[in-house]
Amino acid sequence: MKIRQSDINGIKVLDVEGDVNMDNSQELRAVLKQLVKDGVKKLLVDLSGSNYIDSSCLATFIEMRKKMNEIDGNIYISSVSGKVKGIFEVSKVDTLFKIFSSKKEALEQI
Amino acid sequence: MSKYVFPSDLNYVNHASQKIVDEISPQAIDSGDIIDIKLCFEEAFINAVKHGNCFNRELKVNVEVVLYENSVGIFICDEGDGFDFENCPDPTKEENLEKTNGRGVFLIKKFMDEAKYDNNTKCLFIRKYFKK
Repeated sequence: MKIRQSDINGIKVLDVEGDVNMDNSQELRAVLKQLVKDGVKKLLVDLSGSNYIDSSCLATFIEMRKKMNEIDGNIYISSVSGKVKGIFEVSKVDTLFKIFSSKKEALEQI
Repeated sequence: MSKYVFPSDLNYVNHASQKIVDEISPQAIDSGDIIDIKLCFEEAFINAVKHGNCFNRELKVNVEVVLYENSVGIFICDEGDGFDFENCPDPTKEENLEKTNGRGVFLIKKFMDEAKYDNNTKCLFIRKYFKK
């Protein structure tokens, strides 16, 4: 898994590439936790480069949503497709997040 | 039929699931099937290490893969006290939706065609029929 960070119009964007599973979700969690600690209020995680996630990835997003809520911030997700989308939907975790179809759409609407 | 023995260590998740993927790949043509099997095997392996063997490195996770003409069956067996596979709380219920755990078994039941845990043998059996 690779995580690339950028700042676009006041939004911290994380491009996640590759599988996110038990083996590396702690790494994603650590990055997200640091951003919350740094006071980032608008965070977008783009998953266009990932076609595999597991329950530990969902848990990471849920935990970070809670932490963002505590500082009146928001975490958004974009570009979920295929099996990744299926996992979000079947677990109903998609109902907890504002999920955009693309990064472009997210950056226009956040 | 292939048998594998892994330590109760989550660092072996990728190694173990790669063995399974390598084994099913010649028969599982649909990439979605492969992802489902990889996902559910990894969730089952994690459950065996965490909830079955309680991270006790003295205990092993035993895996048996049986390839049929149109499906694969995988036994994932722990050496612990077992767990209540059938009565895991539904993570999609409103009261559980924001919990950070409890989705592994749910995903296994959703994405496998068969999923049964035997509390006597401490083996979870999962089966997936391949799409043509």
